[in-house]
Formats: sequence, structure tokens, C-alpha cells
Amino acid sequence: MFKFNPKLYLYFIPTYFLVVLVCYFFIVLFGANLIENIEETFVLSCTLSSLLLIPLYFYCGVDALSLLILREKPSTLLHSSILYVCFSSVIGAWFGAFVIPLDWDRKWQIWPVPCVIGSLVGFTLGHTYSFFKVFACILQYEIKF
Amino acid sequence: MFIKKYLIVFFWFSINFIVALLIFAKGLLLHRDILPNKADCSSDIFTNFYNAKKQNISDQLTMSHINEQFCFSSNFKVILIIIDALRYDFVEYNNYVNSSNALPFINKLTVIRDLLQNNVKNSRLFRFLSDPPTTTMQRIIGLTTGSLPTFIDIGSNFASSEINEDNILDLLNKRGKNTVFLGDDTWCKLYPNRFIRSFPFDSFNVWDLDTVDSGIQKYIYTEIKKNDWHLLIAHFLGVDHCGHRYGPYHYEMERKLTEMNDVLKRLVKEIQKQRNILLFVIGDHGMTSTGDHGGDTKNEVTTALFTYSPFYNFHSEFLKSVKIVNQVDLTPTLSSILGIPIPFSNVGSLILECIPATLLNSVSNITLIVWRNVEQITKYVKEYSSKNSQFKSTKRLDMILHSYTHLQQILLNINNNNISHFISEYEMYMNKVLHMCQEVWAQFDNIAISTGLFFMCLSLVLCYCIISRLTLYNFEKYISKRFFTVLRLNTCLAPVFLFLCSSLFLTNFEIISYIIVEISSTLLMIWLYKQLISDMIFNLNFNQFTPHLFIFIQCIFSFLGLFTNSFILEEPFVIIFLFLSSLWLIVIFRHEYRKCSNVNHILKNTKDYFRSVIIVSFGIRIALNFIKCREEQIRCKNTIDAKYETLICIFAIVLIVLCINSWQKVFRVDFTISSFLPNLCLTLISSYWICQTFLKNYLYIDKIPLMLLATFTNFVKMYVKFYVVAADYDVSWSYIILWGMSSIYWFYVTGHYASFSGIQWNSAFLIRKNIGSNIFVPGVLVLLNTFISYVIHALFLPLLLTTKLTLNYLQLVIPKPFKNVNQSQKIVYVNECEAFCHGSFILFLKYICFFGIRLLIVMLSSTILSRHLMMWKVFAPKFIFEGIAFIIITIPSSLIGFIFLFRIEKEVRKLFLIDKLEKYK
Repeated sequence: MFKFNPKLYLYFIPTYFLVVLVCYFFIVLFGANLIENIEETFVLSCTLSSLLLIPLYFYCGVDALSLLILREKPSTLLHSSILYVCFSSVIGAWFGAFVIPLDWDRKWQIWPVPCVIGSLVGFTLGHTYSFFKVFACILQYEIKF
Repeated sequence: MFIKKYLIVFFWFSINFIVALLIFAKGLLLHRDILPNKADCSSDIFTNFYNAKKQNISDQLTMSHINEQFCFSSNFKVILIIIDALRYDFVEYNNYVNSSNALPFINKLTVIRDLLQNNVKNSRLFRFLSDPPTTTMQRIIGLTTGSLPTFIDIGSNFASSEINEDNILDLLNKRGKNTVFLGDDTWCKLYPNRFIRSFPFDSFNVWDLDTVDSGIQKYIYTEIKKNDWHLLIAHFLGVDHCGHRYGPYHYEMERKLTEMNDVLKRLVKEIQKQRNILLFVIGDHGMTSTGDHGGDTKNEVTTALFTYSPFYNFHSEFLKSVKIVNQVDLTPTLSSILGIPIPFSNVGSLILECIPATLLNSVSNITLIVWRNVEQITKYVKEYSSKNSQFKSTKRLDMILHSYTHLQQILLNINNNNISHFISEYEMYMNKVLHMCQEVWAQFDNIAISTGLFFMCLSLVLCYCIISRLTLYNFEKYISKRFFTVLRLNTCLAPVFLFLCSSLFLTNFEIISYIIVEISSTLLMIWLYKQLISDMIFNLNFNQFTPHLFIFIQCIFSFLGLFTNSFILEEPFVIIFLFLSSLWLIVIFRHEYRKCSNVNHILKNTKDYFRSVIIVSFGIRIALNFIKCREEQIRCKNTIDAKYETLICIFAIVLIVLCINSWQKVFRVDFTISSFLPNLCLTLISSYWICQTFLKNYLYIDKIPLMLLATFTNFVKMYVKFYVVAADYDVSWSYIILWGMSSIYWFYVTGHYASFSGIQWNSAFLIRKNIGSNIFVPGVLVLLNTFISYVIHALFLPLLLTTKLTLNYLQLVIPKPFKNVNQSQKIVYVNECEAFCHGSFILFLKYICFFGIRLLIVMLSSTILSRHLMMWKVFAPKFIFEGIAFIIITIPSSLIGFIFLFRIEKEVRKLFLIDKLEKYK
């Protein structure tokens, strides 16, 4: 699974940029400024796309994105846990946005800090969850490596 | 026939909601009319006085003498220091407290203690009771007009916050006297151009403790030395801001109070150098133990009044043992000292102990000063009650007029011996008037508030029951003949009860009428509810991982947001966030394309689908640029400049042309009206804009293009909504929630926000520039302009229902029940006419129910947060706007939409029947 595949790495960089742009588009769509705060929004979109793309891409391969779009049921345990991680990081970023409008004037409330933190927290939680899920599976089926 | 039944039930529900809302509003929204009258020196106060006295007075009071006396030419100058949120226990010196372990606010204003101890005759300290709402703006109005300002002061000008009611500053100006102001910039907003010099500082940043105070200190000492003013007002905000930020128990409070002490010390020193300056130090309101204010608890209401005059002794003949005065009392006292008439709408009485003894040196002087207060207040009460029924409903008015004549009798035989009797009678009289006013203007009516909330909940529960239980087949069972009989009986009996109640024992006609209507329909409700509850099962099965659950949760989020002021302020952003999340959730979790087996089919469908949803989201996002920022929104910037207006217009026209073209292409419209009407509208709009560009002087509505652009983006959105809606006559709650959210969102995006300063009054002048006395048409125009989004959404609500038919026609997705229908057949629902009617009825009820729940949340939030700092700035306007949108806009519009739908349906059925008959022939 982890064998070196130069084609995979070659395609990664353009895919990554594409995903960053898509993320940026969606963040702007959900209410961020298009041109003002471009750096901040870019940081968030980079974070999100790293969290989304890197595991998905390197574990599931090039077809990962089409897999997402076609919404086929994840076939393997690895697939499903990676999807969990992706979703939880997006949802974490989504929840992070809720503290931004509050008028507490804290430093961590400044755009995009809560969203970045939220996505990281979501990522961690997703990983923890899928770890336990895999662990449970291992226990259940007594898989040996 | 059954349509009529649906209409009656719908109407009945609307009435229930409306009445519940009105009862609630009656309790929460304190309101008062502003009279335009102004006081002046040569008023009939004098003639009344003269008439009352002419039997035994001819020698000492000649006409000219009195006339002069009435606007005493006084030389006194007053420095009014307002320390915001100065609670009484901040001021009063407590000898029993050890200084080492004292609370931060105890015994800090030592200068006041020293003055009181050393100058018994020329310094006074009182408990100073302010009236709720204890917010700074209302208190400033109260201090200057001597009235009890409520949240809604109904006056001639809604548009600006400038005060037109008769007040001290205007009266000073009229007499050629000048005022200098330093401090809180609220004053300059309320009274622009009244001061010869003003040094306003921004009051909005509550976390900034020092800017205002140090700014005042920078200028005040030089200002005192100047000779051209008669009243100097300095409004310090530091203590209040410290309370908001840290609360009174923080050591910052100690620092602020010590600073105030130093300021006062230096001021006293300066004053002692000059003659005839009086110093008044007051707090406008107190604070609770957490530092908030706005309500009517003891801590919020009790503040301090300290007066000091270095050269003249205060009057000390009628010293009261209890040193409590009302905040409104300051106004007549100040106007007597400064030698100006008492403001017309003042309800306070004189604080004789604060008036220098030189002004009250004889019996006739005392009676004159006191009597002009009596005359003024009586005139005000009479004038107000002739314009408004608020006073009459308390039944105290007669009593007050009676004691006025009694007071007149005493006045006739006034002399040195009975003057104290006269004064005590005068104080009783003034108290009566003040109590009546407080009862009417300054107290939340908790019974009305809770009654309103209760009825609202009840109506909503029943509404939900009906929505979930009523089907086409059991309609006759629930809404039976008996139901209508009871309803009719209610309608007949309610006026009789109303008449009986109002004539027998209760006086408040409006409330009683509301309550009776509500009770009668509640009985009906309970009767209906008993039937419904028997086979009621709450089936909230969210076991499926569906987008509907998520949308439901998001809806709850958006409701919870109504409990915080920052979420209300940023609502457009919150709503667009939640709305797009919901939309994309539906897109991602759509069920349809899981069922399809063909991959190509999936891809094609997905492509179409995604493209349209992206276009819609894009349109919605672009519209976000059109919001207007409230002054409270710090981070927000108005992005659309007037410069780009032409560009936007052109863009809008292009967009509309494209829309109409694609629309006609898809639908192949061949009916006459629908083929030429859009083009006609387009032409009219473009020509209007062209006219507007060239004849800017004649037509003055600049927001219309934005509104139309928004509306048309809305149409594009509707176009795409077709994809999303399920195929049944039962429209799912998620789509209702989406539709409701979208109507709220477009309210903001069309350039409005829930605050009175945000109303676009220009739209009132659309038809005629000179409005005149007819307010109806301009009022309707303003309402329509403000709530156009709600109107459109309510009117086009049936789209959610007819979508599947349209979809069928568009041949994009064919819902199951219609697979066998011939494509050429344009109207498919005819056979299911009754089901269709029922479906639309339930749809409208659901829509009303959604807004009802939202309104209930707003009502709850404004009840719970009625002591909040932002209550009168954010929550109460929010409630009013939501209420108006619900009562005046959403309910009637959906009723019209409902009727409209039935009408179309009826005509179409006729056509179809004729068609069928011809076929049979």
C-alpha cells in the first residue's frame, strides 16, 4: 500500500492546489470576505484541504475524490475511517465559526483562528474515533498482522 | 365548499397568534405619546394664578411683577456633573466600615462627605430614584424633559433620534442662555446644535474606561473659567463602563471612583473662586451586582443627588426628614434656578431644599414658584388625556383634577401660617400625578407578558398537533360541524362578554377584548385538542442519518442565536451560513441518485444538479454584499458604493434578461400573459432606471434597483428549488425551514435591519413627494419596502408544492406517482384536487408555525433579557420587527397566496372538465 508511486506524487501538487481553491470558494460562499483578509482565509483553506486531502489521497489513491462525489458506500474499513476523519474536520471547522460573531473581543475569536482550531480538533476526534473503531474490529475478528 | 372550511380554520389560527402577540406586546412595550407643545413665559399659568388670587391680592402682586417673576431673571449658573451608574452606596459615607477591608466602591468619594460635614447649610445629599428603563439614553431624556421616557416615545419623528419634546436645553436657548457640554456623545445625538461648545466622546466602546473621562478633564477646568454659559453638563462614563466590564466588586472600580473624587475635589476648588455657581452631582442610574442596568431593581434605580453651592445657602424651611427625591424632580428645580419655564411635559415636582434661599425669600415667591409647577403639570395631564386614553383607563384622573381644585382653594387664602400646609398638599398632589404616570409608562405588565406567552405556546402546540395529525381523511372528524357551531357561538358570545366585563368592573378595554377573544378560542382549542390528543403519538424518529435531522438542528441553532445580542446583530451572516449549510447538506445527502443504477445517468444528473446549486449559492452569496451595517456592528462595512449603482443596474438588467430567456425556453410558455408580462416588466424597470439616472431630482429612490436585483436573484433561487423538493403533497419541514430562513435572509439583503434607524423612509415618497395628511399609502409603501422579502416568500410558498408538477413538466426528474402521466398533459393535479387543497393548507400552517415558533423565541428572549444592556437597542426592536413581519406581512400574504392558489386551481379544474367533456362528445 505504501510503495513509492511517482505518478501519485506528481498528481498530488495540482490536485492539492485545486482542492485549496475549491475550499477557498466554499469558505467565501459561506460568508468570508473574498478579497479582504485573503491571507487569513487562505490559511484556513490550506489547513482544511491538507486535513481533507492528504489522508484521503495517500490512503485511498487518485480516485479518492471521485469516490467522494459519487458517494459510493466505503468498501473497506480504512476507507470509512478516513472518511470519518474528513467529515469530522469539516464539521469541526463549521462549529468553530459559531464563536466568531460573539462580542467577547478575545484574541482567539479573530478570523480564522476558531475555524482552524475547530478543524484540527475535529481531525483529532475523528482519528480517535476511527482508531477505536479499527481497534474494535481487530478485537472482533482477531486480525493478525 | 371545503375550501371555505380550510380558510376559516386558517383564519382562526391567525387570529389566535395575532391576539397572543398583541397581549404580549401590550405588556412589554412601554409607550408614551410626545406632545409638541412648548412652555413659555407668558402662558395662561399666569392668568389662572391671577384669577385664583385676585379676590384678596391686589397690592403686592401686580401684573408686571408676576410676569417678571414667572421667568425669574436669575443669575445662577449650574454645573451638572453626571456620573453614569453612580449608585447611592458609592456616594454615602459609611463610618462603620474599616478602610482596609472595605469593598472597592465604599467610601471613595470623600469630597462629598467633607462638604456635607463642613457646609450643612449649602450642601445636600439625596437618594435619587430614577425610573425604569434605566438605560442612559432614556435617563438623559428624562433629565432634560422631566418626563418618563419609555421605549417607544411616539412622536413626529421616527427617522432621527433628535428630541423634539420640550426640554431644558431648548428653553435655555430660547431665553438666550447658553449650554456647554462635555462627555457622552449620546447627548449630541439627542440634542444636536443645542450647545455653544460641545466636547463629545464616543460612548460605544464599553470596554474603554478612560477616554471619555480624561477627555472631559482635559477641557472642563478651562470651560468653567469662561463666562458665557449658564449650564455646563459633564457626563462621565468611566464608572458605568467599569461596571459593564468588571462589575462593581473589582479594584478597577476603586480606581475610577478615586479618579472621580479627585475630579470633584478640583471642581469644588474652582467653583469656590466664583460666585453664583451651583454644583449638582448626580448618577443617571445604578447598577446591579454584576454591573448591568436597564431594569427596575433597587440597585439599578437608586442613585445619588448631591448639590453644593459655595456662596448661597439652600432653602431650609421645609426640610423633609426622608431624603428621597425622584429623578424627574431635577428638571423643574433646575429650570426654577436657571430662570426658565418648566418644560411642558415635566411630571416632576420641585426640590425646594435644593433651591437657593434667595429665590424663596417670601411667601409670594414660594407660592409663585410652586404654583407654576402645579399649573404646568395640570395643563400637561389635561392635554395628554385629551389626546390619549392611557390616563383615563386608570380612573385616577378624576381624583387628580379634584385635588387640583382643592389646592386652588388653599391658594386663595395663603399666608405665612398655612404655607407649610400648602406645600405638603402640593407634594401629595404631585406624587399622585407621578404615580399615575409611572403606572402607565414605566412598568412592565408581567401579567400581560405571561398571558401572551402562554397563549402563544398553546396556539403553537395546537398548530403542531393539527399539522401532524390532520389528514384529508380524518378532516371531517376533527373539524366537524360541531366545531363550526362552537366557533360561531364563540363569535357571537365574545362581544356580549366583552360588553359585560368592560361595563361592570374592568376598565382596560383593549386588554380585556384581547383576553376574551383568546379565552373563547382557547376553550375551542382545548375541545379540539382533547380529540386530537386521544390518538396523538409524537413520532420524532430520527433514527435515519438524514439531512432533515441536521436542518432541524441548524434551525434550533438559529433560534438559540436570538438569545444573544451579537447573533442578532450578525444575523445575516449567521443565516447565510446555516442556509447554505442546509442546502449543501441536502445536495450531499440527496437520496434520489442512490437509487439510480446507471452511472452515466448519475453523472449527468449530478452535473446538472451541482451546477444549479452552485449558481444559487453564488447568487445568495453575492447578495450578502447588499446588507446595510448597523451602527453596533463594528467589523461590518457597507460594501456597495453609490458609485457602482449604474453598474449594478446594468448587471441586473442583463441578469433579468438571461433569466427570462432561459425561463421561457424551458417552459415554452404559450399563454398570452405569461409570455409578455416578464418582458413588459423588464422594459418598465429599465426605463425607470434610465429615468432615474437622468432625472435624479424627480425620482428619489435609490434602493429600488438593489431590491429588484435581490428579488430576481430570488427567482433564480426558486428556479433551482425545484430540484430539491420532495415529491408528495406533504412538504417536509426541512424545506419550510429553508424557505423561512431564506425569507429572513432576504430581509437583510434588501438593505434592512431590525432597528428603527434602519427604516428607509424615502420609499414613503415614491408616489407623491408631498404626503400631506394621508399616511395610509406612504405607510403601506414603507411596510412593503421593508418586508418585501417576507411578502414574496409567503406569496410564492405554493411553489414548494407545485414543484413536482413543474419538474414533471421539465422532464428532469419524474416523481413516482406521475410516471404514467402523459407529458402533453399540463395539469396533472386536477384529479387529486382535494388532496392538493389539503396539502397546501398544511403547507401554509407549517409556514405560519415556523414563524410562530421563531416569534415565540424572540418573545422569550426579550422577556428573559428585559434587564439586558441591549434590551432597548437590540431585543425590543427585533421583537417589534418580527412581530410586524408576522402579523402584517406573513399571515395576510400567505392568506392571499392560499386564496390565489385555490382560485387558480378552481379555474384550471373548470378548463380541464370542459376539455374532458369535449372528449366524451
